Amino acid sequence: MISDRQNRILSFVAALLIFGLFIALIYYAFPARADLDFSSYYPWRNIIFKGWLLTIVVSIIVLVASIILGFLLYLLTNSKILVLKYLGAIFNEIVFGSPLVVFLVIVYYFIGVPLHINNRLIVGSIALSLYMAPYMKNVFEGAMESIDDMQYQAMTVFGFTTYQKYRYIIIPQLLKIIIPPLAGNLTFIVKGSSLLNFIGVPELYNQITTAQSNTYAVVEGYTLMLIMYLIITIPLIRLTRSLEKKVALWN
Amino acid sequence: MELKLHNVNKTYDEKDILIDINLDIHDESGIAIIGPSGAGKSTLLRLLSLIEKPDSGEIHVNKYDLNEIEPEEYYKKIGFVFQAHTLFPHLTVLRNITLILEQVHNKTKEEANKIALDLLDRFELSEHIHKRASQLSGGQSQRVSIVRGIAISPEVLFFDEPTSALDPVLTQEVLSTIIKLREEKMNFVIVTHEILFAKKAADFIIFMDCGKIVEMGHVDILENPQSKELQNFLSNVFLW
Ligand SMILES: Nc1ncnc2c1ncn2[C@@H]1O[C@H](COP(=O)(O)OP(=O)(O)O)[C@@H](O)[C@H]1O
Ligand SMILES: [Mg+2]
Repeated sequence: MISDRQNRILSFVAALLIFGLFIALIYYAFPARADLDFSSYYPWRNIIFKGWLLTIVVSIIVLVASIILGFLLYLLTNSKILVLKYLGAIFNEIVFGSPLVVFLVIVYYFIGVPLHINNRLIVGSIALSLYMAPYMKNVFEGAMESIDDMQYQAMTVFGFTTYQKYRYIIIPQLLKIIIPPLAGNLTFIVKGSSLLNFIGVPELYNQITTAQSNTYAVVEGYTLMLIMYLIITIPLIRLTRSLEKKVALWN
Repeated sequence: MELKLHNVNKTYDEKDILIDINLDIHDESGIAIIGPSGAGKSTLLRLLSLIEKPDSGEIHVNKYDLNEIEPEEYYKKIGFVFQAHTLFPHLTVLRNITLILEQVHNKTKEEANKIALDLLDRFELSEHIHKRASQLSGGQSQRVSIVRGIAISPEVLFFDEPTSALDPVLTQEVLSTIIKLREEKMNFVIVTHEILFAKKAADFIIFMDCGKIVEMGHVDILENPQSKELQNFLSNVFLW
């Protein structure tokens, strides 16, 4: 008899094998396939690794900046002052309606160039953070709604001061609620950061395409790229899931 | 306990919710407020506990004039048990109780723990102290809410339909906890739809309908209701 755990491991390995076989089948059945040869990328390893690190760094910067912008946007769209509310709403609609790559290029030309922000990394981070802000705003909105109205009455009648309410009750609950969706948005940011290539930020996508134009090994380049993105995103996705499960226990 | 209300009115969105409420109750320790849903019972309880203020009128609870007292002062004198879902879900059972004792009532950590553990033990909740509030059953959660309400040794404990979200078995569990409080002479005001329980646990009954007190008096009025409204209400309730 095999244990539950062994069964799960075996099944997982089997699934990986089937998946690998499937890819191999497509690869060998594909008549115009290139003969995969990754060795031409070896001389580019430092540049590619730097690009990969930059992807991680940009993602973290954008995560922090978009959380702050998202919170400001939350305050704006929930403002009692109608002008501010509508300003926030208009921004949301524009972002939700725009393809990311178009938005990035527009920000580059309409904000970066006029303001003489020459550092592409900075312009790129600003652009991606602006794009992510409405998604972050939604996270805050969901979190605020999740605290039951009666809890606020309870906090009041038990005599907590405003500071104590936030410090001990509201913020700890909000943190627990927003962490899983934030981790989810981080995955989105990592993937979206590949489009910063279009405004010349030397992140992973950009560096590999640079190498590609020298090695001419296009398929290998994209394969490498996929693997290097997955190395970042799969752990993030797993982390998001486990956080979600943990949080579910609290409700 | 003393409750004195003089011409109390409350409106929401220009709708009259409480209309000229007058009360003068002395030396009763268990007061039950009954009446159909929408009658204004919860609203009255929110005024008595100073969660909200009336539009006009005067309210005295014991020696406190609710128009005069600082809310923070008053909140230290009363306890409140809500319908459901007001334990803080991210905290353990123990911490739900000690947080208030430490932060609002300036007890040391040791004092707070001692008070909480003694009470949880007395109400047979000891095995749950390290569970998060969100992991409790509905009945356990309400019993912890009651312990949280009495932990600060309030002069009056308010309950707003503490069993309406529970099934009959859990309801009994919670109601017997409240009866225990009564045996200990705790002053309380409870909004409830459990008429049999009100008979057992309360000395004084207030029957409300459409924002007014229609009938009130010693618990006997449930046996011998005078108003048409209370007669109707009781006959409907007993059909259940
Ligand atoms: N915060 C509020 N805003 C507007 N209307 C309210 C509010 N609270 C209660 N009401 C209204 O007041 C009336 C009485 O409500 P409530 O005191 O909750 O009655 P009960 O507890 O007797 O069921 C209801 O018609 C309800 O819709
Ligand atoms: Mg009610």
